[in-house]
Amino acid sequence: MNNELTRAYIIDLYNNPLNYGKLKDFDFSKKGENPLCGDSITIYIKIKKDKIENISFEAQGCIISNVSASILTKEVKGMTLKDFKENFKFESVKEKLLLDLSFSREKCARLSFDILVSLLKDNII
Amino acid sequence: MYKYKKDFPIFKNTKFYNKDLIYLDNSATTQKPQIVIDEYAKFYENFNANIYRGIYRLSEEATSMYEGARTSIAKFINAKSNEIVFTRNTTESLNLVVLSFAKSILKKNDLVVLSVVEHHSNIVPWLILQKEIGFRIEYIDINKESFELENIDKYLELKPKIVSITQVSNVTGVENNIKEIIRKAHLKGAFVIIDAAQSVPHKKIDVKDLDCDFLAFSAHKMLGPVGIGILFGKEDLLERMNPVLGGGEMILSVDQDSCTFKEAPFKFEAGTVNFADAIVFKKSIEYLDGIGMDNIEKYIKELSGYTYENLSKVNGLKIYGQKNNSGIYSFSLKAVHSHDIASFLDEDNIAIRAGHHCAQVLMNRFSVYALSRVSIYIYNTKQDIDNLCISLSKISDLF
Repeated sequence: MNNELTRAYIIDLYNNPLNYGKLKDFDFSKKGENPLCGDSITIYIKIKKDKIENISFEAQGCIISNVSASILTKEVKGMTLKDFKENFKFESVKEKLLLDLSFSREKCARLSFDILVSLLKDNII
Repeated sequence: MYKYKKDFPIFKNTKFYNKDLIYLDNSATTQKPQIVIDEYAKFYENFNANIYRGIYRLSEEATSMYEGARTSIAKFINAKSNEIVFTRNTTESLNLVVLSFAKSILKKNDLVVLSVVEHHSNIVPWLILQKEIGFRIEYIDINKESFELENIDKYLELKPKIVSITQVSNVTGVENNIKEIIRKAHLKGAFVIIDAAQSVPHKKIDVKDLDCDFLAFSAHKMLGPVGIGILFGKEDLLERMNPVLGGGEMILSVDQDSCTFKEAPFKFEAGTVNFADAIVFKKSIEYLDGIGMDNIEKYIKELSGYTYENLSKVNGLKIYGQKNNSGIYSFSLKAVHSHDIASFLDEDNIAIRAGHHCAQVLMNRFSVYALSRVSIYIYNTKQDIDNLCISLSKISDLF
């Protein structure tokens, strides 16, 4: 957590996560875990007309995995499935995270993205 | 004791984030003094040759240095030279006992007693063998107040064939009274294996006095090189054990249908062994002996008490264990994930361990998934602990 401003931003996002909690109306959900540290995240998603109409998450784990899930859900909400599949990469989350992630911490940041990709692969794309 | 810090070049060289390194992950591995590092170069520049095999002066010199290392290590724990087997690490030492000794004596309905504080290296090999043979495993619980293993009597009433336990927990740092456990277990006819990875670096260990049947530890946790572990086994037990690995230099003769083995410990050291690291390990032992293990024990005990008192003052910090003489403490800090704590401390160039510490059975017992751990060694100072606690308090204030 590289400087004071970034730290404040990250901790604020950790304490006030975006799109947090189970959706009342969702089509699919998927839980994923990082066995190394015990982080677990569940993603809920509502699809309408090939678009991610709504998305949320629940998480137990470290700051990095929580904050990454907030950023991910904010970025992909409203996105077409085609756009997500063709253009959205983990790097899109990483650059918004503003952190130099070490090898071990990158796994925390990737967790929600990997769950979303796997959820869509299992069910839709 | 902190005067020895200058012997360790890493503290001069490594200044991540322009800050001095505060290294508090000594239970994972220790730093190396310059004389140990220099010993590598000295060996490779002057004495390198494959041991036992060469009928020439250079090989004989290397062989004599390797056997000299074995003698030094034996003396260090009051064993005989032929009771010392070189392995890769504590894990391999324990696996060797399980795969050879335990496998030869255990039957389907037998019992092995372990404890809930064991490192995975003293659980997983047993679980693997259990699948093959089908014996039972009981885990000794810990006392809720002292965090020591609870009274072993009721487990011994179940007539275990083997008791395999750690001397000092790598999570709580609490030392078990293994001498008493060994005495009682022997009275009931059980063999006793000791994981001494966290105790041999901290205090004088005398295997004759303890009367353990086997004892395992690693060089790299006591200023020595990675890649060298030790298995002590009583002479008569090693003699009756079969090798686990077969290959060069562990045999007397081989023909198409059969082979005969060398005596212990050589029959357990197949192929080209890690002789360079074994020889370098001798230098670490000399360095520790130069300071004196009694002095080391005294210093660690004092700094451990200081660490306990100061960690306890950090707001929201909970120690999973008791004040101990090993300087190993695992803790949680409010609801902050241990990996986040480690990342925050890393910004101050403070190295600690975070995670389950290869002790998931104990983590389950504590109902936690992960903890942060500090562990000290001879180069750590009260100043290191003060800086750690300042950084931890800063983290505590953020949440």
